[in-house]
Amino acid sequence: MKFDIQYRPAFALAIAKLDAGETVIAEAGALVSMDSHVTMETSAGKKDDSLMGSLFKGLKRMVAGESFFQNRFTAKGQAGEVTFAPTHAGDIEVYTLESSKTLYLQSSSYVCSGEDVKIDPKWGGAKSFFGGEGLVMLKATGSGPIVFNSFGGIKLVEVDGKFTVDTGHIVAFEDGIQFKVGKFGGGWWSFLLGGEGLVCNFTGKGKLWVQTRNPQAFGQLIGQKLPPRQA
Amino acid sequence: MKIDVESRPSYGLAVVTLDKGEAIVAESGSMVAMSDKLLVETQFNGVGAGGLVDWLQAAFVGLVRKFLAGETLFVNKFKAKEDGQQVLLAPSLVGDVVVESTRDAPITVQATSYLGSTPNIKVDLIWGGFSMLFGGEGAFFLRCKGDGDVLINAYGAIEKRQIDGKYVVDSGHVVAFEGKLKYKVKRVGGWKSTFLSGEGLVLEFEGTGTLWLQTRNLGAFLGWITPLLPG
Repeated sequence: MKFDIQYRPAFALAIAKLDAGETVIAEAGALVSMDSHVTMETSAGKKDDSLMGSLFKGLKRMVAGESFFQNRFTAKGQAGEVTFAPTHAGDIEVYTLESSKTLYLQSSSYVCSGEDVKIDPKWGGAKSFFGGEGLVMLKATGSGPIVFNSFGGIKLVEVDGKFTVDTGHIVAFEDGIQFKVGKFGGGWWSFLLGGEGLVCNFTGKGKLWVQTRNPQAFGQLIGQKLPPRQA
Repeated sequence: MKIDVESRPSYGLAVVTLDKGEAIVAESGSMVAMSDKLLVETQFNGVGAGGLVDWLQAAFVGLVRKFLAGETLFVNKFKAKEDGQQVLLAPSLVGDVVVESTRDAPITVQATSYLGSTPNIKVDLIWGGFSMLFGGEGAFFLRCKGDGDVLINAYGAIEKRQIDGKYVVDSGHVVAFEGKLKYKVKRVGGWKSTFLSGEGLVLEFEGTGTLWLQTRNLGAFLGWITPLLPG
């Protein structure tokens, strides 16, 4: 399976090139187009899971802010192509997992992944809830490609030591980094008036991806300018 | 006449340069700026050589576009009184703009993706079929035919694909297709997928010709932004 990312960074499109018989799993609603010999199946779990097993997997995804069902695209008989796009403007990045690596993802950043990538919800700690982003993050393990998207462009930061990111700007990070949610600035004064609210303090060594725009901030800005919604 | 597109692909702007006697027809509201030696005429789109029958037909197309396709009733025709006059045109949505020739084959454009055309092009309204009503985008297409160029805009970037055989596209991502291509509105996967996959309906194209896709879907964007708005 190979990915080609086009139209970066504003309106990125992920083109998945599958070998014959290969499967890519995607977030519900991500499909843009595909070859006609690619088939799509919708399920909560894997093919050989029991009903309870599937139900549990679907619920776990919902807890993490993902869709209950996901779609499996398989190239039947010959190699094939499927294209995916996220719902909002922004970039797409591909990360290759190996058995020794773990990637943590902001839950709304997931686009698609290979069949051998396992995705579980990961409790981010009660404080992350107040940071405006989801309470639960996604933990990706296994092997193969995982594709994620951002709101705005994506900036890769090689963390070595300490690094602070606004909670609304986190996309993904490797497991060599630990994070703790804290107040922005030195004291209550900057926390309340600095306009940054809560931030994530990362410590360790590894890759971190941040998005150049903040969905909550965007929603606040345009929301104030929209006419009141009808009841 | 010369048509250049600038600020691609995020904020496509069509720069139309007209010599004396030349004209361009543009969707109402799309004019950004213009030179002073231009004559502006507001008319129903698709008025041909003239005559009452042509006018009535164009008026009908305009009314249908206005009330059923959510588009504007009128278009503006900019005609140069001197050489080197310019008209700058832009759509309302963020995204790309392309200029395509209809000399070899007519191009059928999603009603919301029509930005303008050269005056010798005839624009007809086409009913996309009842099933298109459930496809998220409008149920109407505009068929642009004749010896000239059409200006097409999209939400996001535009992916241009040469089709030879069959190809499947999510209904919210279709921008335009050459008249030689036939399409069928289909479910993707089984019945379970129709209700649970989040993909809705797809269009299966068949034949040989060009297909234009957009890398974002307005309905999906609205679904994403709504929960982020205050109140």
